[in-house]
Amino acid sequence: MNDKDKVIAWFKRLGFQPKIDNFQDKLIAQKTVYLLQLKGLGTKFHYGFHVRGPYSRELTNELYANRRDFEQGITGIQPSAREEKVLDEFKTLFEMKPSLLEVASSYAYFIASEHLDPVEAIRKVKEVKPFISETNVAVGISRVKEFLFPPSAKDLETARKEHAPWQEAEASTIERDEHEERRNMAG
Amino acid sequence: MDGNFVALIGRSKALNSKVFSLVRLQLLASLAAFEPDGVTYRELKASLGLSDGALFSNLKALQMTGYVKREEVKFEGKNLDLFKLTPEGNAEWEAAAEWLREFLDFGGSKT
Repeated sequence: MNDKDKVIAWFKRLGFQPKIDNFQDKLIAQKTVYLLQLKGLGTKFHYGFHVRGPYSRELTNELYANRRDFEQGITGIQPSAREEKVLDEFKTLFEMKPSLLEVASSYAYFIASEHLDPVEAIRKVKEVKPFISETNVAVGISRVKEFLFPPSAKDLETARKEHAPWQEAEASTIERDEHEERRNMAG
Repeated sequence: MDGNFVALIGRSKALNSKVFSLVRLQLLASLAAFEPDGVTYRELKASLGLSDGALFSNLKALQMTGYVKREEVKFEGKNLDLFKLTPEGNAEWEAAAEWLREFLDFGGSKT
């Protein structure tokens, strides 16, 4: 099974039929394959970071060399059940919107390949994508965290410990307010 | 080696002065990396950190020489300027890049 057939099968599941001469479609194709590859769906395109963020010349070559197959969705394979689940989640999160995919893939590159901490990665995304709105940056990063970097059990436990004093304080405030309310009503 | 270096510098005279400026080399390198897709104006501006004046005038000069061409593309409903290398621009970039590779190889040998 080659990577080209696999990618076409993904695109079909995503309802995405790229036109190879269309600028926006090529950008969606590049970012989609990058994020799905990082998710572990098994293709091996080499990606570097260029002016547009993660970009694979190998994938570009495949798109042009197999234009008809990509444009008409011609492939001999079907995604596995696991791949379908990932693809459906991907489509729901990113809605195939180019801006969200641009932000998500750049953030993922800074975390996964350059090993930046999340705060620095966000700063870099804003630096390389100043033309994308703050809202789309925030949404794109939030969605890619959900897709690629879900919190571990340890992260959740740390968050629970951090929030515990606040939750206790909130609970005691509610208790005190209710007590005062009852006293006022009685009085 | 001195002779080789002199020959190397001598070959630099064959480089095209319309291309051999840092900004234009940066532009050609960026565009060459994205052949045949091209790069938008806003992407070039963000990645190269150039002012609008410097970017616009250098792109204009490269268009005038026939090394770069401009197209208009749609992106999320907006019209963007997309720049691509022409075959002539690609050939000039290859010539400049080859000379730079030779130059760097020479410096790396320390002999």
